[in-house]
Amino acid sequence: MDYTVIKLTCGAIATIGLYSVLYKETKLYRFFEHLFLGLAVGTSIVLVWKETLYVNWWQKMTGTPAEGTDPSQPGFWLYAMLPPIGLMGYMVFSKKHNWISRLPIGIILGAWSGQWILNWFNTYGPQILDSMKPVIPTTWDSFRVPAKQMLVNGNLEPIPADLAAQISANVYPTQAISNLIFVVTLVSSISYFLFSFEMKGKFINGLNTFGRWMLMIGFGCIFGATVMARFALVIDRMSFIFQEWLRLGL
Amino acid sequence: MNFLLPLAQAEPPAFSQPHNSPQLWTAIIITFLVSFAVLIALLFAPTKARRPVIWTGTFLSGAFYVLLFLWPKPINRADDDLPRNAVEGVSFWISDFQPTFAASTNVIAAFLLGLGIYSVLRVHITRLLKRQKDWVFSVVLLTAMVTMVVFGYIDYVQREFHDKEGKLVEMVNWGPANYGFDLLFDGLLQQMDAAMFSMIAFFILSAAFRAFRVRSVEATVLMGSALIMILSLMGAIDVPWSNMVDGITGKDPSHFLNNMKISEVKGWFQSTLQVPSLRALEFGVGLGALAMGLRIWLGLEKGGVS
Amino acid sequence: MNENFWSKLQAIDRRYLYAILILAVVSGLYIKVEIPAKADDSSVMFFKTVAEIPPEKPILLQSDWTNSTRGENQGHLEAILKILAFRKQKFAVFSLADPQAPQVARNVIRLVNDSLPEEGKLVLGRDYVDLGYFPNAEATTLAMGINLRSAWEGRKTKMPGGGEMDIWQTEVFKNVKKIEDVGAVIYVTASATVDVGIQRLGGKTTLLCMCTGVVGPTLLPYYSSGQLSGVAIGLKGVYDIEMMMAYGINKKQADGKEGKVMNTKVPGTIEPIEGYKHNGRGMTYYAALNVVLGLLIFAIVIGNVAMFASGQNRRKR
Repeated sequence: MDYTVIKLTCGAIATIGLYSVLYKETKLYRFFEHLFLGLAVGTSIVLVWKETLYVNWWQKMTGTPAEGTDPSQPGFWLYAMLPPIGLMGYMVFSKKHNWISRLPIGIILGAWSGQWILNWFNTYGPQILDSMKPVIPTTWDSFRVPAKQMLVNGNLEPIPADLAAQISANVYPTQAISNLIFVVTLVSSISYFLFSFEMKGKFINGLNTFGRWMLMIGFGCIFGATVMARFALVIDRMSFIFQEWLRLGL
Repeated sequence: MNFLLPLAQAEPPAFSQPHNSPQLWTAIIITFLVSFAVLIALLFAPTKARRPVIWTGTFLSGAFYVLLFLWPKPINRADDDLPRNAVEGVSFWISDFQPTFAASTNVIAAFLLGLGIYSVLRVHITRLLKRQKDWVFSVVLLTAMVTMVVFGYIDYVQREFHDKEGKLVEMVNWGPANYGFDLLFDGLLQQMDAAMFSMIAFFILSAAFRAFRVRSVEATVLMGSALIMILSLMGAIDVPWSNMVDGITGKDPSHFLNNMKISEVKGWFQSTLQVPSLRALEFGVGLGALAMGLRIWLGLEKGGVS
Repeated sequence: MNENFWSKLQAIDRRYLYAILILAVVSGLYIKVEIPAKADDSSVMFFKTVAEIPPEKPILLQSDWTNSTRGENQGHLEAILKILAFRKQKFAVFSLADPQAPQVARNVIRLVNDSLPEEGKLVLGRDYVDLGYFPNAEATTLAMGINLRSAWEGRKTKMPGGGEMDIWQTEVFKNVKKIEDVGAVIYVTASATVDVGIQRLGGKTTLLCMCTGVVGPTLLPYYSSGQLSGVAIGLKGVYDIEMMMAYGINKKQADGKEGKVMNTKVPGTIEPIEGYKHNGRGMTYYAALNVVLGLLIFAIVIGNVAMFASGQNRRKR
């Protein structure tokens, strides 16, 4: 029997076995669930050594022999300090000494914190700049933004580049209104996260409520995209079973 | 300025020895034993010393990156440039040492990955030995784990050390271990991984039918935004609707009704309403993360370091 | 319809809904029609940016996904690999998010190679290097931004004629000294690793992303502010990219009609990928996506109608 067929059959049976939980939780489902966990843990054990420890630690600590035109690399013995630091993490299982496990975690968290301070402006600086949008129109030649295309013999063609550049350089009244809505949405949504002082007064409370509604718009966008993502996974699974395994419709 | 030369090299020769030399192995063993001795010493550390030890480790690792941020950086530094003064020396050392520091935190994180593996092993071996409920499934888990480790490791050794020509990239050159690993990883694990995550879609449909109700302003706004997003993803609806609008406008690009196309509505919605609300969400999260980062770095988080 | 019908409808066994979903998906998979769609601006800018990268500059391809998001990310990776293969653009593939990700990427490269013509196949060591997994995404990305050569020092790759070579001696990386020398960093991801890249590589090189629908919306602010030059989001993003690979941007069809992918933000024309057959994963799955999204909308509408109807009937009684 062809290896590819065996491989596809195993994958399909495993998929159907896991899908059986949609009908009812059975021993069949539990079997495949534990099989999945076992394989995942086994893979992690191999991959931790293969992808991380061997290259980033063992080879650096012991060096490499000469190979072809590459000279031998020396070993840096200070890396031998790292296993005891990593092993400190396993003290979490000790009731008396579990404080020691916080040391390697603290080193990693400290590095993360330091980097966050380093990177905060890289993340939010351009976004703050982008949020400064013009809310006053620069031209009243047209209330709406002129089209950057024209109809030629039934087909849409782009307008001349200099005209397009002129349109892009201006802020039309509809753009100014959209920018104002943008700024109000941003400010009201940010106001929802102000927990440092009490929200008193009709204006602040109203802004807070409006901000909550605006956040719901963002969540709706996330929901719509998430739905697409999850359905794509089911489509992929059904394609695997019906088209790749059963070869129906190919 | 010769004394600053070592500072310009993150891994100076003083800490290295030739590959496979007795001096290297001796240094490795001594370093390991000394570090282990420090670990043992920590077991006997007084309670008062615990917080300062954790705080010191956390602060020093964070301070390195803060120093990286604040210290003047070299501009247009060539590979053979040497530092001219102490400030440049420190600057060179920071940028040269950063990959080593990153690699070290990588390795520590990799050792900590074993915590999860250890937890799983502990639970299931206990269940097996004590014949607790569903112990048979623990046998399945442990068997699968051991099988994967065996096949995975043999496959790795063959590819890494015994296949210099890269012949194992082609399936025709595979042996039993390579087939075994491929069957377990690609044939079983990856397919089950995909199946597990795909089940959420069924629950989404069920929840959408039973629970997604227009009962409040917030729910209505959320649903409206989601519907616009979903409709814009459906070319089968978006394009015929756009064609209908084009039919009314005669494809005139300047006609007002062009704004009624689903793609235009979605584009405006996204750029004017969705982006600022998501941006506000990220600003909130970012400010919180910055505050939390500062608190962790400065040891102000009581729960973390005491 | 009386109250009993609407109440019963709301209380329907969920297993019927699951069966309807499976039927909808399977029926959608057998719709073999190219569904017209308007490509998202972010996808168009992704394709345009990749098309304008000089072919002699290598690409850093960060593949941070596993089979749990295969439905979207495999399509992304297949599309970008085909683009790079047809353009003969060299690249390095690596992962920062999951130890399983490098093996998943290798399997996809093997799959894509099977579909490429003999003279266009990707060869390890010549056309690309495989750097594997780096566990600490934040520190590794920062190291890449500061000194790319130090960050990946000592890494070796297998060569076509046998043996191994330091990656910095290969055709892929011999002209690269720092991160600014690469054409772009492209993220194929299902998680927040692209945020890490923006924080640490922002402003140093072009950043592009192909991501799942779950993280896509959270990246739109970055795209809007220019920190990301293009984003292909989810299965729709895969479909958009495949359409552009087949038909280009603003390129008229053979019969003179306007192109299938038109966008006023792209000046001029971007050519399609020569030799590409329009039969990718996006093309296969998109019809089914339309069907199930339609089912979802129907379910939400019917559920709310049922709620209102049974509420109204209760008030009448």
